[in-house]
Amino acid sequence: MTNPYSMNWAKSVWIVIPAYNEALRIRQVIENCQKRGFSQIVVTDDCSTDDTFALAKSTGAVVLHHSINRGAGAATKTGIDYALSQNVDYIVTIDADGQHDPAEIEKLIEKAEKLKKDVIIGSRLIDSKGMPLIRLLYNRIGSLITYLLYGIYVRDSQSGFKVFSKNAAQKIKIKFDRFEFCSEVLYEIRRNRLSFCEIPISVIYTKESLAKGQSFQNGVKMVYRMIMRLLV
Amino acid sequence: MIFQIIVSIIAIIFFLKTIVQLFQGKITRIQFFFWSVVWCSLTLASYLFAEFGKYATYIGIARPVDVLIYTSIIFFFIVAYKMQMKFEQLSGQITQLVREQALQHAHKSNNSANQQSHQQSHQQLHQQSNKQMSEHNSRKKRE
Repeated sequence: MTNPYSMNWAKSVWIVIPAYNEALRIRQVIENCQKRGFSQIVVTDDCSTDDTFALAKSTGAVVLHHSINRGAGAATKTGIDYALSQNVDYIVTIDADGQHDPAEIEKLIEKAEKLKKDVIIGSRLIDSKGMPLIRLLYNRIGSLITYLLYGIYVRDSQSGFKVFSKNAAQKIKIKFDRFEFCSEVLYEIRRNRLSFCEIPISVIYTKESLAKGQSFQNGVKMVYRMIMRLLV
Repeated sequence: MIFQIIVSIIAIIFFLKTIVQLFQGKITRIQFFFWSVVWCSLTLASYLFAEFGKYATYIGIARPVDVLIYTSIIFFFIVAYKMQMKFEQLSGQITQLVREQALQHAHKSNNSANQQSHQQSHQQLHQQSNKQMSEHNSRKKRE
């Protein structure tokens, strides 16, 4: 895909979707992107134990398969590396659990174009209506810790909905394999002096996505790994 | 004396284990040397325990046993640090390997799909030209 039907400019956009055990939702997420006119989609199946790979493949998307589960960060990086090997102007990362609305992809890309930003972060916390209180708290703590450790503050540091220009995607080096890569991306933005802004996005929470989300224990592990990475 | 004997037995057991690991090829000669020094030093330290008293007061530690405890803590921190570094390195290498495998596989299947479509279009062209040739020949024959 180079030109979604509602866009009046021709840019090559690749959608990167890291997925682990998302058989219930992956097909719908991909099809929703395709309905919006985006056909260049790469899914990284992070060694799922369900039918995620087959279901993603059946939609016609490019599906990469991790033979060992390496985490969301590693899966995202694999997808970005694949997109960079193709003809690409913008790379969009979205979650496979269906919490992001693909209808908003165009909005984010248009903002990147219009504002000439390297990275656009889809922020769930600018308008946090509908977000469970515990999620809100985790995200706020995540943003605070990211600021304390990496010196960059954004309202939603843990958002998986981002748009990267080709230049930004080439410069950003993701080394974290797990969810802490979201904070690492911000650190890389700061290190490479890339321009960025946050744009409000809506968020769709389902029972399954809430059950799969970050727990307090995972949050503690994330912080531990972030501190260790700074020290080691 | 009991303390010295216990420490010596433990050190000898681990030293023997280190030798076995060297012969099994599980550790390198440098690692063997390092661990041999560690076990020998431990045995030696247990026998020179009283001597520590003199040095302990120099560095502001009252009891010689505290010197041992503090040294052990520092030693274990160094080991943990080294292990963490190694773990991070290995984890990164595994991820890189898995990623390269996934990307290679995708590019291979892309290439084979391209080849297949190329072959198909080539075959179609070939069939078309054959058909045209046979039509041309049959027309000629009729004429």
